Amino acid sequence: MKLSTIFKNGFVKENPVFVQFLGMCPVLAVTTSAENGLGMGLASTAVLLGSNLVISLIKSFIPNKIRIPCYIVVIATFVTLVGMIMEAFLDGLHAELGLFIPLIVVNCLILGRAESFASKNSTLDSLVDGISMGLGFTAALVILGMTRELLGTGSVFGINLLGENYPHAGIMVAPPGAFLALGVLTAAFNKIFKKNKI
Amino acid sequence: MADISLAGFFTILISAILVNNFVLARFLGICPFIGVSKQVETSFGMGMAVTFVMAMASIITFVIQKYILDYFGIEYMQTIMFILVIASLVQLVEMIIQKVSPALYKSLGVFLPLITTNCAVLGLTILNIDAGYGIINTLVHAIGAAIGFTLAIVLFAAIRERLETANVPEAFKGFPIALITAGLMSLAFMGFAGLA
Amino acid sequence: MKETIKLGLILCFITLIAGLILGFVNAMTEPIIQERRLGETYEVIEKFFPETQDVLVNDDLDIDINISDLEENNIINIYASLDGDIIGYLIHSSASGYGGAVEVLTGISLEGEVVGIDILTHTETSGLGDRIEEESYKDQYKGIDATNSLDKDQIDNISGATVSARAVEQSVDRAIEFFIKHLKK
Repeated sequence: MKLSTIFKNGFVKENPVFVQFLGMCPVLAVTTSAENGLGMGLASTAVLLGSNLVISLIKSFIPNKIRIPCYIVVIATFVTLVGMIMEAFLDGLHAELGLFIPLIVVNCLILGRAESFASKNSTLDSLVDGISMGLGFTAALVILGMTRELLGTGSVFGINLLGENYPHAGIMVAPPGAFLALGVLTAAFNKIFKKNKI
Repeated sequence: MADISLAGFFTILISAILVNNFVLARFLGICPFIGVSKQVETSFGMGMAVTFVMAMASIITFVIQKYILDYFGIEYMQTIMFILVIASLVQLVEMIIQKVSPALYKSLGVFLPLITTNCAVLGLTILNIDAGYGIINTLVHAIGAAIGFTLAIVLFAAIRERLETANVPEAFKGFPIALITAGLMSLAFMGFAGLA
Repeated sequence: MKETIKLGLILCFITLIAGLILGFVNAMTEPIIQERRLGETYEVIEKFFPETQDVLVNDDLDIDINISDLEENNIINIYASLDGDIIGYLIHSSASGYGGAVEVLTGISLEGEVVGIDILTHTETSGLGDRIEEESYKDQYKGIDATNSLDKDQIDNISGATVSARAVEQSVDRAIEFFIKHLKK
């Protein structure tokens, strides 16, 4: 597979959120603002890169029967590492993302990529795949976060765009808003890219 | 740290099932929520499997946290240890269901092993520790979370069964309309806010 | 059987390596985290007692208590604010909320009046439980008499956040009980 093909994959064709519907929990929970979406996206990408890298390197040493638990240990290690570093250096974001940082370990996207790609491809290919899926995931998170933040508070990334008199649609930053926003955005994605899979 | 009382149990249960419903308010357990819930019967079966895993996982992780992680000061191993416990439990449940009800095993299909990556289970075990619940409150919380999850998933399945025959615009078919439905359910559940 | 043992050992080995790496990183990041938390606490102390010149913590204070006493009552730290002499106390206590422990810093003046409370950490549900951070809720605690047990009826709860608000109440209750028992003149 050409590297450029692998790279483009995660953005549209196999977008983790709008096409594969993976990693739903953090997608809905942390996208109350564009910044949180970006933070979670990058944290998940970091874990994905790390795990794809390590798993593609040690794949020949892992017995097939216990490969899933082994992948899980590798992923969990990176999740814990990212969590520690965030708590030390990115305290505000760490507090905002809260419970969903350790939950990155059960993000089906990461285990899914380990099983379907990193365990079967070269290290370089796996790295590029990790970047692609991770950034595609992050893009989706940021778009959703921007939508909810804009409609809910009139700002994006904290910058007020809709003026003082904008009646905040508070519902958008509350749980129902997450479901509604993602539903509409996915429909839009389907329409734009002419895809329709369940 | 044991604040045990009947009223306390009630508050924990109402909170987890209605006010802070695990799926519709806390966003835990979304993947199976969207994936399995096309039929009421299968959803109920899934709910039962999850209930068992949640209850067992809560107890085992409580013990591990107290006597291994805290005792040796290696709290940072929590994520790894907990997820390994859950993965093992799910394997166990899979084997049990396969023996007891092959029909259920077949209808749950790939979603059974996916309970491992169900953030509701891992999320619950972490929340139990953070809340500092004793073993009994932990179990009550687990049952509340499981009921909340089952309730959401069964209700959702019932609605989706009806949606199958409705006239949905092309772009919205499948996932998008399911999400919007969930959004409306979540909105409805927000009405419980005054209860606890 | 032999194969199962071999597989188990490999899994243990990987977990062990993971543990070592994490232990190493933990040792590096833990001090940074502790120092930052301390800084945040001192900021709150200065907010409650602006004349603070010095702060004493736990053992530095001349009180007859031991560590197990503190833990049993969910007291995490005790601070005394000094301006030459002690002008007030701040008690860092915790109680179980909905999403985890809710840690509260209760400032009590020497005369036995609650100066204010600050929610140090919590993991309550956003939009619901985290409303315990609203000024309107926290302000209720200002001026409360800390020489007698907390009358929970005088605190208005938050709709949709009972468990979270109760955790705050309980935390403050514990702080006041401790003040009455050990610090009141």
